Amino acid sequence: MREYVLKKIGLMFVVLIGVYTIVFLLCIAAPGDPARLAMGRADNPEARAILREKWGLNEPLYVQYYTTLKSLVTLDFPRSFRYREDVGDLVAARLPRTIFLGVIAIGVSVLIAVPAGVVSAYKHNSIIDNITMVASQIGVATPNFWLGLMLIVVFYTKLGWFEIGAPDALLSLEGFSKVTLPAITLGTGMAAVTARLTRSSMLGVIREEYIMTARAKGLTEKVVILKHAFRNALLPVVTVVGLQFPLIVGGAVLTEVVFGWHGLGQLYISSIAARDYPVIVTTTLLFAFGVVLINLIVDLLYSVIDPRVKYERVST
Amino acid sequence: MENDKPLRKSRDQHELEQLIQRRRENFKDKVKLAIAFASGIALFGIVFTMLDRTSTLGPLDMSIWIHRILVVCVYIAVFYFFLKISYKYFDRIFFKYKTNTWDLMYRRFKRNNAASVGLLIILTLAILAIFADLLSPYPDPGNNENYDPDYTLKHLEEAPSKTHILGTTRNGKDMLSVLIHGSRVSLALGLSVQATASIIGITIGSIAAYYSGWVDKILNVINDIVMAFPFLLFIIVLVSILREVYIAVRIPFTEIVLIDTPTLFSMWNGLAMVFLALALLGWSGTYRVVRGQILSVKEMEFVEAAKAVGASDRRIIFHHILPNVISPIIVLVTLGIAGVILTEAALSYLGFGAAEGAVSWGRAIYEGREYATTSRAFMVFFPGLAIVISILGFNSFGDGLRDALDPRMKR
Amino acid sequence: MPLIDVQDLRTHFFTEDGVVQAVDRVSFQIEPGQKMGLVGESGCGKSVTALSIMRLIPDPPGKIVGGKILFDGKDLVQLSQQEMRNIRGGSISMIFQDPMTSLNPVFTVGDQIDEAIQLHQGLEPEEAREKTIEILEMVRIANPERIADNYPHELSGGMRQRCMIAMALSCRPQLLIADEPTTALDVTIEAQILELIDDLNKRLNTALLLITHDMGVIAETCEKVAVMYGGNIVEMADARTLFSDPQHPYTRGLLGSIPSLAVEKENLKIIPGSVPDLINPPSGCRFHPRCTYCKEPCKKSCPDLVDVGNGHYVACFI
Repeated sequence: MREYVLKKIGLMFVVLIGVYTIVFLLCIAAPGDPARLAMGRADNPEARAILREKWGLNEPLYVQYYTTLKSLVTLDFPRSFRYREDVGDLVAARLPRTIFLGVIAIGVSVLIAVPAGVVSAYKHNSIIDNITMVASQIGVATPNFWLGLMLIVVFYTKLGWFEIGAPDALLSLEGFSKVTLPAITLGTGMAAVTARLTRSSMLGVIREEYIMTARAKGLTEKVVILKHAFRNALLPVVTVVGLQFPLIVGGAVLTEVVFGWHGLGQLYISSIAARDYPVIVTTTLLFAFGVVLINLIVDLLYSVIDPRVKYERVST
Repeated sequence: MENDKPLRKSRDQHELEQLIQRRRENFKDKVKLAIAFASGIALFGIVFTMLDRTSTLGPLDMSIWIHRILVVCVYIAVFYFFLKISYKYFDRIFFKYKTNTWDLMYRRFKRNNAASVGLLIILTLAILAIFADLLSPYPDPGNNENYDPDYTLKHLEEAPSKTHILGTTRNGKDMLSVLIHGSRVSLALGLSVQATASIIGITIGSIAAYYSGWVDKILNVINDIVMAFPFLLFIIVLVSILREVYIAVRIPFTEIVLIDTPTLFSMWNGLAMVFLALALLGWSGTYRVVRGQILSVKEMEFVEAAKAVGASDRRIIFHHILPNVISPIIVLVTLGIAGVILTEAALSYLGFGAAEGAVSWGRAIYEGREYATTSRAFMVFFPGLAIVISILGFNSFGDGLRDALDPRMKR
Repeated sequence: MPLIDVQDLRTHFFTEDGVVQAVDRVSFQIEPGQKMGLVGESGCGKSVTALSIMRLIPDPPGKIVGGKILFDGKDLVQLSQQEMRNIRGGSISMIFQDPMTSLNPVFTVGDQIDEAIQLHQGLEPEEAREKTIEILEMVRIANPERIADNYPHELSGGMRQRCMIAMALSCRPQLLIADEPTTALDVTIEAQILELIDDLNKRLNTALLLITHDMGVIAETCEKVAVMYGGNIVEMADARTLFSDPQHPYTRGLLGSIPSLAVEKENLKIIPGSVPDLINPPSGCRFHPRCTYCKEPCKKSCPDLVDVGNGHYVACFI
């Protein structure tokens, strides 16, 4: 078991290094001088040169590669070009908001989607089943940001039920009021996919022989479905939820932009426009790290849920 | 066969019960469909009302909307019957030959109502795209020469009215025409991106599956890296970079430039960039599926059996492995087109996709995005609606295909 | 007083393609502690009969449309779901064909047996576990404490089937229904399992309804045998009589088709034709299209079981 985890962590680092390298190359290849962009109107060659020197942009490439890598690994973050702050501080200010949004979105969507899927599978072809199916189809088809805009129109502009913007304190009435619409926007796509997947997985499991055995033992339907069937149906659902994570990240960026939610995503977009390399690199790596971490957790969860998964597998 | 004897009463009764049950279920299905349809329209009406209460729904305008809805319903009805009739003809064609797998699949597909509707939507889109110039009320909005500047300047950002059914855009162009011409972009982009990405995915996937071992491992790691990158982010970075860097492809030893980035970028108003980015990155899914399928089929016993009978490698690949691989890929491609439409919309919304002057649904939302909180939400609503409907169509069709192609599913 | 008395059972499945008359007027009795076998080809309705007794027929599309099943003074067909649940696993247990797919892969076998015990006997987990170990010993599993913490996929086929049997017998039911228990196992294990079942039957006095298509298994294990075809019972007798003096043409055909090691180089004898379509069964006796002795009355009406002496029943006009 330990070798498996270590191997996975090793793989994780390889992937992260790969991501870092690619991002680095992209940033370098991108023209657009951050110094010039930062100066704006007050542009003049000497000032630019000073800035470039200060930001270490004149060093040979491999030196830059190495220095940035070192600073990231030792968590001694460089300074952002645009803001006069340490990237670490910037991120620390914004990350909690993004995580808050993400957690609420994922939590709510899972809490709604999974039971809906289970019930739909159990009452196959009933009204609930049909409604869930149609709702999930629509949920998948709706562009994330468009849904956000529509929600804004209906619930904020017309009805005024919720607020919009970035709250100062997250766990407050204001925070929850502002996070609702973005969370719904972000969570809808995921809820739709999860619901359908849970449903089809449960449908498949309910047909298995051991469910018949469980019934033959005299267990109530509730126990049969919720204990015996559900545990088995959970596997593919967990995998897909894990796989969805990169999409959530992308969706979060969009959602943050639509709702003016000052989180990591918004920072990311504006940094790209401004060629703020440190921020770009750090944030991208952070996202990639999150993705890889979630995958690792999913893998480990797998082996907890399904005892058939052996850590020392022959294939794969 | 042996049924010309006096039937037992109980069987008669059962058959009758059965018939009644079937009719009842049919009727219930139709009622359900009607209710769903009606509630869909009702929902649409409610949202619509909320979008802007003041300008459009005066008494005169109401009748126009009813009229339009009627037209749409008639269109749908006609088209649907057309589909049904063509199914009947297809039936005749198919049943002429022996029943084989294709026939079974086709029948399964036909049963799926949602899939037929999806097909309907896709066909409509195709017709709109191909005959865009004929069908749109105003000429091509992409081409500025078609518009009289005086007219457009006077009609900026209008709400829906008699002359402009869905309103006008920020530039004074008719929204409906924008949507119709935009369907071209969506379809063309979707198809081309998927085609390219699939080819890449199939090639790389086959290589990985065929030469297992360290080639496979390396390709897998590459795939992992590509997948660990949040898709959207990567594309944004790529596009914004390619926008400005100058790379030129030259014929060697000459000065003749075949293609270079500024030209590439201005092609199709920036959409060529999107195409490249999406195609080059979208092969992940296809790669995995192809590799998985080939690997599993390779191990299956009928390949061993074929080898034992002396089939050549080539025959094995083409006759046995490929058919198993193609079906899921077709499904992936169909569903992928929906994904492309979504991604293009998202990119354009963020400003990284279609550029000024491009006619696409995403671009329309981008141009209208400031108006979402005002009474002109129409400018955002309609392009989004178009996107939702087309994606619904592709998804239903793709799901129907998948259900029809998978012999194990009993629904 | 028979332990269980099935009278005129009829189970139909209502499908898109028609009504499948899977079980049509089946009647038999099992005495306490008796071992009965139900034999027939695939698709003849044996499993459906067993599931009907347990009331485990999936309700759409299937339904018990007629008949009575008298058990312990009650008609099982009329019982509510709650009452039926008490009986399942408690008074009547069932084991299935493939132990790999019949055991839940994510729970240990110990947990699964505990569950049955806790449900029907209301014991605390520790006490239930004691009983589990007991029953595992009874099915001749060495090291029951260790095995109880194993998952199904970690055990061999024979052990899995033993665990299934343990689970079924854990609450000392009065009747055990075994649906093709050895079909998925290889022959040596099959012999062990059959011997085990025999032993348990004697020790616990549990009646047995053994369903199989393998005549050899029936001959070895059962005291009473019923032969099913096309949803009807066509012949019923005690094992010895059936094998020595089969009356029904179908039974004769079945027994005749068993290849014998004694005679060399004979062609395999078959019964011509194929299994009837249960949606549109042949009128009259369902076997008549394949029967070599078929006469006019056979085509017209379906014969009932007639006692030809000694508790030997045949459903034939000949």
